[in-house]
Amino acid sequence: MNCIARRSRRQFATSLALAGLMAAFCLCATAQETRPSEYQVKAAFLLNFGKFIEWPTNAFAGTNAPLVIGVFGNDPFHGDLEGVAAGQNINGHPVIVRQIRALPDLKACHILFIAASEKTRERELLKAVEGTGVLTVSETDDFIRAGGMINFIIEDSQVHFQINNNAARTAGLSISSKLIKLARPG
Amino acid sequence: MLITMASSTVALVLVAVAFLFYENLTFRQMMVEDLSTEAKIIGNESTAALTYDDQSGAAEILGALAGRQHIAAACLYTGTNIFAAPFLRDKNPSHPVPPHPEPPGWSFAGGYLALTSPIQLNGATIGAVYLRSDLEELHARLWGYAFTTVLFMLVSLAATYLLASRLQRIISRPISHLAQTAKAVSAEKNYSARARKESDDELGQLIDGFNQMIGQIQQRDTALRHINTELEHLVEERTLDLQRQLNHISLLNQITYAVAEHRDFAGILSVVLQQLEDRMPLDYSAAYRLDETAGLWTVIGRGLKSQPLAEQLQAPDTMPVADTMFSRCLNREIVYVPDQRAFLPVAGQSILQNYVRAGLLSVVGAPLIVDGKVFGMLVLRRRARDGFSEAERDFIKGLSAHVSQAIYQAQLYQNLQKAYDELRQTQQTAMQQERLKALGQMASGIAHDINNALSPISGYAELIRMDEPDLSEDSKQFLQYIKTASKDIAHIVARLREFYRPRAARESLLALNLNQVVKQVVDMTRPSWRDVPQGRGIMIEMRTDLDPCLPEFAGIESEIREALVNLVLNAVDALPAGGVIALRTRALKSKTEKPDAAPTHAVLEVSDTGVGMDEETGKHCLEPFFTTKGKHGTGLGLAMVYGVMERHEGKIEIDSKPGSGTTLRLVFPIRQLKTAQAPGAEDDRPPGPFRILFVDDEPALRNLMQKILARDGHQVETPDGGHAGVEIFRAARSRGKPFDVVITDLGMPYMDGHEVAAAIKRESPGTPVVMLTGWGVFMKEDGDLPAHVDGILSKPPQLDEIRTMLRSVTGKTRPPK
Repeated sequence: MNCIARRSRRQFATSLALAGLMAAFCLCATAQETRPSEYQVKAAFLLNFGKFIEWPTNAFAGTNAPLVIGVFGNDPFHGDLEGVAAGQNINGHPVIVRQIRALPDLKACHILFIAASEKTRERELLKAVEGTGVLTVSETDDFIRAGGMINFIIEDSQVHFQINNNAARTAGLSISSKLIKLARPG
Repeated sequence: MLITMASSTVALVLVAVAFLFYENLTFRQMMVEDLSTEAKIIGNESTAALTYDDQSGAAEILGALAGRQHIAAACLYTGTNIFAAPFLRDKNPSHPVPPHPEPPGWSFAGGYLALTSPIQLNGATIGAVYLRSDLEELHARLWGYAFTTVLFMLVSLAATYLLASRLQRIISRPISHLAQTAKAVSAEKNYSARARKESDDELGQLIDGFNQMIGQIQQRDTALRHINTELEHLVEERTLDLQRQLNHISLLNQITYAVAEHRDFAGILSVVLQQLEDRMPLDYSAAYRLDETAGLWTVIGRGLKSQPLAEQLQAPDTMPVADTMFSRCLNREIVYVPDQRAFLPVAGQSILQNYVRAGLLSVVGAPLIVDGKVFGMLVLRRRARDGFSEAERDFIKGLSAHVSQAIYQAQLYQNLQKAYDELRQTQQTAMQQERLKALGQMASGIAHDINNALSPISGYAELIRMDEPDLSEDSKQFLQYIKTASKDIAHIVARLREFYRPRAARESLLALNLNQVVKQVVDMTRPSWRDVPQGRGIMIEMRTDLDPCLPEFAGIESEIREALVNLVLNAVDALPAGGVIALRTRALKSKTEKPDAAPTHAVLEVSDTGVGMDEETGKHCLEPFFTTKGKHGTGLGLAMVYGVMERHEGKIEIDSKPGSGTTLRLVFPIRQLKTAQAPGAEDDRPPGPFRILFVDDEPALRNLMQKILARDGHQVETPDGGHAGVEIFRAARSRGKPFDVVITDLGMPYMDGHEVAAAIKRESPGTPVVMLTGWGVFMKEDGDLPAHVDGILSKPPQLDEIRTMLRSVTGKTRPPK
């Protein structure tokens, strides 16, 4: 019992340390010159979205099926996303990052980041994944209007995001209210 | 009541404390749970803010806690630092939030509950939330509980008090009353106590049951007491009865012991009466003897107390057997008259009136019975009417049986004692006679031998004196001395021979007048008892008391005279200081014979008032050579008297005590002379001649008899022993020359005199048989002849006796020539 308690406390301590590291990562990104770059922050944000969103049950082939984060367009993360997601696990699903080239592959994603380079094809792409339970994320001004679900914005040189909860609900996704509370009005 | 209250209070306090303690615990737990839930909610709310580093959002979430009054402080941490501005209710709190996250858990400290809870997202811990709650709610709640509890306790106690007092009235009081009653009953044994009934419920029934039970016990107790009293009464009666019986037994015992010491009728009765008077007790007691021939009860004893009473009442010493109230005693029944006045009307009971007047009302007559025959009666009287209980009468009955038995035993004993005394006297007499006889025989033998030896001494002395004239004067004188001495010896020896000499057959007994003899002796001895003592200044008085009716009897006058002289001289010797000599004669009659019968004995008594004899002297005085006179006595005087009395078949009685004189009594049997033969008329011619067979085993005697009988002209054969004798007798008979007379010795070997006599009589019953024996004297005195024997001769055989015997057995005399 004592032993168990000690172990659980140690686990708690390590996980707290990890969280602290992450927070420090964020703080660095904002407060200091050596803070993380914009896309490093966006990569962490992108990964964390998975934790506040519930997919329909048929979105995963099984309980251990991977959660796929797809990047379509010119990858702005330059490997940071893969770095953040490596070894990560959301609700029992191992996280995989994939570069999407073909349109049919879009439906195989759970979170789809549409790079700014594809701004013009936004409507077309959104149309392609409509009703398939794919969380669509981008960083363009019209993305929310175009029917995208989450859009990164920069305010006071800090990364924030906007949420189109109607689009998410239409797609069968449930976004946590806590996330919605943090979102900037679109 | 107090106990009830106290126990209730303690119980309530304990419950209240336990309740508060439990309440405190549970409430604290609840608080912890509530706070932990709130922490979780806040943590959960904050996950996004923490994840996306939204500090204002986090502060907003914490600010929402302002509505929760009990939260004093709250804070969010990421890593080891505070994430956003903490929530503090007081702007300047005494306790700030911890700058670093504490390990998850909770603690009550400083009046707060502090709780740290981890914030988790997607299975990972992303931060921690710290909440601090004040305890005011807890305290308020506890105070509320305490107040409620106290209030409840007070109400409970009041209710308990009411209930207890009510119960007390309904249950406790009756039960304690019941207990007190039970205690009183058991302690005081008061079974009349009852418990009070106050209700008809179960307690009422219990009390009813208790009362019923006590009632039954009381009934039984009463019955038991009653039985006990009866039993005690019975025991008392029985004890009294036993006491009485014990007294009787003890009395009987004492009487038995006392009686055992007495051997005579009167002694036994006097003891019995005295004991009865003292111990029963009695007012009057008497014992009577039954005189059947006279038809009278004769008094033989009265108790000590009764003697004066009897004299005062003039009680007669006899009363008739018939027609008195004691008649039934003759039928061996005990008579009890509870009140003699019932007998008063009977005529001739004047003495009864005396008894009644003296107040002696009740009387018991108990017969004395031996061998089923009434011989006497005990008469016991008491003053009280019906004064003898049945038990006492039974006791008297038993006692009379005992007394009778004792008297019977006493009589037996007396008879036995008498027989024994007689036997002893006879034995002593016989022994003395035997001794004297033996002494006398020895003396006779010695006298004969001395005479034989003396004859040559005196004869040759005489011859010397006559034939030798030349003897000196001295020698002649010496011879004279020898002769005189020889004469003296002869004289003494003569007297010795006289001492015991069987009466010679020749000595004829003549009729003698004893009174005449006494007178002669008085005259003859006058010098001795009067003249000589007078010369010495001593007076001796001679008295004679002669029975004129004394008959003459057969005896030897000269001997009796000499004996009497001896006795008178002895009497004079016994009176050294003078006194009285009395000579008495009287005729003695046998006690059993009738008064007019002829006297059987003549008694001659010589008494003196002299010195007397002691017992030892009395025992030996008749023995020869026994004398108390030293040199002056020969010791033959009384021995000679004894010899005389033996020859007369009489006896000597001596009464003497030292200092009180001596009485010597000569008792002669009175025997009349049978056809008296004139002495000179005897035929001195020898009978026969006969053919005589003399059988003996001693040659000397055979020779002697041969010569004696041959001198008388008889033909004699003397075979040796019995067998030879019988053979010769048979042979002579077969030859036709039988013997006329057979004389046989008695004591012989192989075949004694009796057998010889029997054999002879078988051969020839007509042949007379004479037995010659040393026992002849005694056999003759017995007066019986043995069977087959016609006559007895004593040894040594005397010629004249032989002649007489032959004459008598043959009935013939020598035929004239």
